[in-house]
Amino acid sequence: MSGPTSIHHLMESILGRNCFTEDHAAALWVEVRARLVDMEATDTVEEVEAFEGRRLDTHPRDIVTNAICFVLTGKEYWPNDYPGSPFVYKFLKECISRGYVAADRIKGDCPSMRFVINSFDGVETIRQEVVPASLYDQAQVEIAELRLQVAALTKPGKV
Amino acid sequence: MSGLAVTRHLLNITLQEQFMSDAHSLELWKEVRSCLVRREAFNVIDAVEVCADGNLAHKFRDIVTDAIAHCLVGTDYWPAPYPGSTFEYDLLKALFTRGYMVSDGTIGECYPRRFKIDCFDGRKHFKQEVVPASRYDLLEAEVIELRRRLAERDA
Repeated sequence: MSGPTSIHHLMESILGRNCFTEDHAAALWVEVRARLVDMEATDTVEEVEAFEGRRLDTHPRDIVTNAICFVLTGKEYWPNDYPGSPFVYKFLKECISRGYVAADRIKGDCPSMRFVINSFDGVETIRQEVVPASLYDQAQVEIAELRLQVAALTKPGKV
Repeated sequence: MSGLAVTRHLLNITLQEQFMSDAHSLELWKEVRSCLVRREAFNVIDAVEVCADGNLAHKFRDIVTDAIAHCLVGTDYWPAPYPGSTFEYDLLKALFTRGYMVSDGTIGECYPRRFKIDCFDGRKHFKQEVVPASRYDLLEAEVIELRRRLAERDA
């Protein structure tokens, strides 16, 4: 059976060598296999299990990668990177919690909420650093609450 | 002088309405003309001044619109729209301030703070609403200051 071997090779190509063990690969393949069966991709399961080599061809590889993505992050497919995407953070977080990689693969406790977008104004490339509007809204709510608390403390008689 | 016709025509095309009076158009043309002189665009000035209907040839039009942008907003050229651009806001603000146009109240007193960006994750297109990080930094600084004041009171 080369399911674990294929998974091992795939995860090594994603995470780097010498961190994802054969035991990890065997356990993850069980989950990935179950997901593929749920997706009625039994032909993919057969193809992977009959595969003799290490590196899957594009066709089964994309389906297996999406199944890995689902098992580790709950997302149905492996998304392309886009500005502000939380996918890499979620993926690495799960890999850390499963012991696939060391905790220092992620810096900080939450995904970086600020990111850069590049636009074009017809002549120049415009580089803008932005944050999600929801984060800005949260900060506004927090400021309103803090202002109320400060105002309450500065009322005559309370000082 | 048909510089008047050209400036009015170009701004009316951009803003999709008729609003520039002759006096305002002439006033703006004088500024634009000075800008074109500084840019040594004498052939453009000649073309504008013989253009009776305001519908200037394309090759000259871009140079005149860039000069209009410089006079009204201070940019070197008229930028293409992009997410988060404040050019349209600045342009309208200048037109209101100069009295060339009357505000209908839809433009606020401060810069637009949030805008949407188009994203694609390989399968789906979607929009994210974002705010410039510099604006968020101001809020974060205020949060820190308010917390500091509360901590001082508690101490």
